[in-house]
Amino acid sequence: MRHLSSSVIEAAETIILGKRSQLRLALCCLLARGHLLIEDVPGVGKTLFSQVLARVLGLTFQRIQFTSDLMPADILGFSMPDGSGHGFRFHPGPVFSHVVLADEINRATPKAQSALLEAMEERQVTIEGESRQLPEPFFVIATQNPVTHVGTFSLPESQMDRFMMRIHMGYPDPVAERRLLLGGDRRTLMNSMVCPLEAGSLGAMMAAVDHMHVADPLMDYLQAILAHTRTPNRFVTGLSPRAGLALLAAAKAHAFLEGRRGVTPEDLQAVLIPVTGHRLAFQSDDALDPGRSLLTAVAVP
Amino acid sequence: MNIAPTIAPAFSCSRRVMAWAWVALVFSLAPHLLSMPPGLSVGCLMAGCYWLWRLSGGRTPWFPGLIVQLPLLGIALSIILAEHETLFEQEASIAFLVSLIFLKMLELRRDRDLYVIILLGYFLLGTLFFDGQSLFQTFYAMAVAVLLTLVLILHQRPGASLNVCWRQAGTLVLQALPLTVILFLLIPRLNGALWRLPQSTSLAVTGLSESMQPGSISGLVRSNKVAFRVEFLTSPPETARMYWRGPVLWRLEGETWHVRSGFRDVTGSGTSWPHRETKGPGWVQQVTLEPNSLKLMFALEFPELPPEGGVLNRDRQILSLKEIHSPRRYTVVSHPDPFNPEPLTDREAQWALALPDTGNPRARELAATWKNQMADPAAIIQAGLDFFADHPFVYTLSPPQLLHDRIDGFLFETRKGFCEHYAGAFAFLMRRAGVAARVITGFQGGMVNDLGNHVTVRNADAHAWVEVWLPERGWVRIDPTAVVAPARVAEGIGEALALDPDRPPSLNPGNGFLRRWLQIWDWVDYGWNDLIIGFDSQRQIAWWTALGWVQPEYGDLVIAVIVVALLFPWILSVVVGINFSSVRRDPALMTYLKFCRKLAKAGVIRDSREGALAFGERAGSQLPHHRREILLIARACARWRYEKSFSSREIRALKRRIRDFRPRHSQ
Repeated sequence: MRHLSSSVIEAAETIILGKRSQLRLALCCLLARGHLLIEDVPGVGKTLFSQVLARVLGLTFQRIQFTSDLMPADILGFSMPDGSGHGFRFHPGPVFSHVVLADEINRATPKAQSALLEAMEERQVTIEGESRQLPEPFFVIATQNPVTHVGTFSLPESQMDRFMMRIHMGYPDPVAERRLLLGGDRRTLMNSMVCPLEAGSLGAMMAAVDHMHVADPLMDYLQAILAHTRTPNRFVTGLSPRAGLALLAAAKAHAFLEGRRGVTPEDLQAVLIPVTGHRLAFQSDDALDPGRSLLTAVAVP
Repeated sequence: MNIAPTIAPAFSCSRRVMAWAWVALVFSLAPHLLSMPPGLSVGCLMAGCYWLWRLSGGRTPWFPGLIVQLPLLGIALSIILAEHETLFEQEASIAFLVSLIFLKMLELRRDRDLYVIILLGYFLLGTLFFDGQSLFQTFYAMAVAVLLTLVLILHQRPGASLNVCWRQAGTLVLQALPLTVILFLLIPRLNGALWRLPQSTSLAVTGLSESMQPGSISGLVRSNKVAFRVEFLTSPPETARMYWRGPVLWRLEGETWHVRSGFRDVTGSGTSWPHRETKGPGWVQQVTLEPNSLKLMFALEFPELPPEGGVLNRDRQILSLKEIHSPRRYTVVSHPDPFNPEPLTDREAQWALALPDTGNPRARELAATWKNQMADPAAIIQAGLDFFADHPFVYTLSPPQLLHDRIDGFLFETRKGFCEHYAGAFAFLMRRAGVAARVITGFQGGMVNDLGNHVTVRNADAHAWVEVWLPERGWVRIDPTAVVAPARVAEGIGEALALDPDRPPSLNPGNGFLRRWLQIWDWVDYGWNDLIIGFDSQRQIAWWTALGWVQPEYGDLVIAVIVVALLFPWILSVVVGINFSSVRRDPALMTYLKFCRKLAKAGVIRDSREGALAFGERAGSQLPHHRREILLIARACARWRYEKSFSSREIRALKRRIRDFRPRHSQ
């Protein structure tokens, strides 16, 4: 089944140049049923990245541009009289889609943010007392400007925790950038792209990830990492059990992408920084990335 | 995988660690603070306050730096030198060590500094035993060792609760006990203390001395210190007959009685008591003597033969050949009946009748009348005793102070005195009446401890009595105190002073319960002295011989100590290893570690934070010749550990591959 995942990544790479590791992490996140937070300056291709991801996986895609006047109904949908005078008809919002891009999520008010974040956690929305299931798979990619930018409501820690991973796009390297500048319009290219997956393949891949074998020594390593983050005087708060689950699921997905039959410490290390980076903060101002510090501090048993 | 080495923070002592370190240091220093020059103690207190100041604020710590510390060191040195004149002396070097600890406290910048301070604290604990090795000191040292260990644990485990750390520190110290016992039994005992620093001359030990004046014994009675303990190997005499003989005083100068000249000369000729055949059973005593800084050894009257390391002088007193600075055990046989005496020499007769030229006219007059009326010395002695019995004499610890002619004042006016007054005055009267007399100091009675079946004699049991010379019987013991206060001899000092308002609390007879506890404590203390401190080289060799190791020499013991020192860590690792057996027995890990060892020999060392695959990649790039092989093995190792299905055939193949793997340096 590994060829499926590599064909997905290869297809995406024809459009998104030089972002192989980000693509792999995003795919990991999706296969592990997590949500993704992309943090970077505008114009580095965050929107295109998510669109392509939905496209290569053959999923429906909706984009919500978050602004300061965005209302929850703009995300979830609303009911209005159906014209016959007998009742109301529900108009589903953009959230009813496989891949939802929440663009610049930190520009909206906390109220609008929480509407989306609740949907992410529950995988269903409740409107006017009626619960409506969201499509399966449901995958939110939120983009966020670096919090120092003007006019932003930074996400509180409790909501950061709902994102399985946070990645940075980064500027393209010179070779990729030259190809990007000389090549045609990425959007037209994308529209001509064909999904390499058959129907049901994605579900099978996700099931394979769920059943990935986890050996005892790996659990020891994972718990050592969790214990390390909970040692006092180091981080503001330690990793939550939810973070532990996310770490394990992401590592399983990574092992799957690598074509392994068991999770290795390398898989855990590969997803460690994106999964823990946005959940940890040093007590003292330390220049070192907190996620990276885990790599150097915890021994592999 | 890019693993950057972390830079350890320079100083990571939490406030909790510093607070406990402070407490631990206070406890390890406390026994020394009093014996140090006061200037140093004050300096130490100031350093302690500085530490507290850092604990309370501590945002931007201020360090005194060398400019302050060097002068402080100079001051400390000069204070020590002014007090002791040298550094190479026990108390001076301890004071120096203490001042170094406090100077170190002023520069607590890095974790390392804390370790140094704690290590010095352990060292200081060792010096505690210079002063003595009592049970209490040992327990105190152990408790402080737990405290110091606790500080180290708190520092290493910032997250652990205090309870957990206490338990761990206690466990660690307790775990050291078996090794301590083994080393205690093995380390050869040196008969002369080779390592001992010169002892301070000022180190005075309270106890019986070689002279007696009014107040010297009653002062001693206030001390509850143990003088010696005796275990009887035959049936003991009743308490009233327990006269423990000490210095014999011949010369009266003014108010003070002194030993005769040549008393301390234990090697000179003519000083020893000739051994004679005796009839009848004696009392066989095993004495455990506490150090008295003198050459005094005690035994029941009258010792037959001197014990090892001592001589019996003509006064029938045992003298040690060397000054007694450490507890000492010896066995003596005593006989209650004095032997047939040699006649008094002219010089002795002269000594035993000598009186100061002037003073105490009324006493002289009284004795002169006895001399004129009676010719028989026995009658004179009886008259003297009757004088005490017929007049209202009071036995008290705090008699009124007298300035001149104290014997007169005591006999005819105040009539209140302690044993030294009675003995002194009686001997004075006897000499004036023409009966040769001398004063004996020593101890009378003692606490019979039926738990340990031994008698404990304390300074409080100090006593003075008189011996008079009867031509047909020789020296005869007369105890004038017994006439005035029969309870003193029959029931002990506590009972005799029961009504004395100035009686020190240590002499309170107490109720049965308290007395029982005192006996138990005394028994434990005696057992400690006997078993631990009394474990000298002879007993050590005897002990090992009894176990079947016949007559080990010093060299054998030293080798045994080295063997234990080498074996102990291994034994410990086996014992502790049981707890981690699941990790140790993981065959996949063991195989992988074997592979890692081979690579380490080739110069590629595994980082503990690296997984097998990452390590394989790195090793492969560093040893390009073996890249293929390394990657194969590393992947197989990772599969064995982390995947579900790794068949036994694959395991065998992997093991073979690792066995045949011979990496070489690529250069």
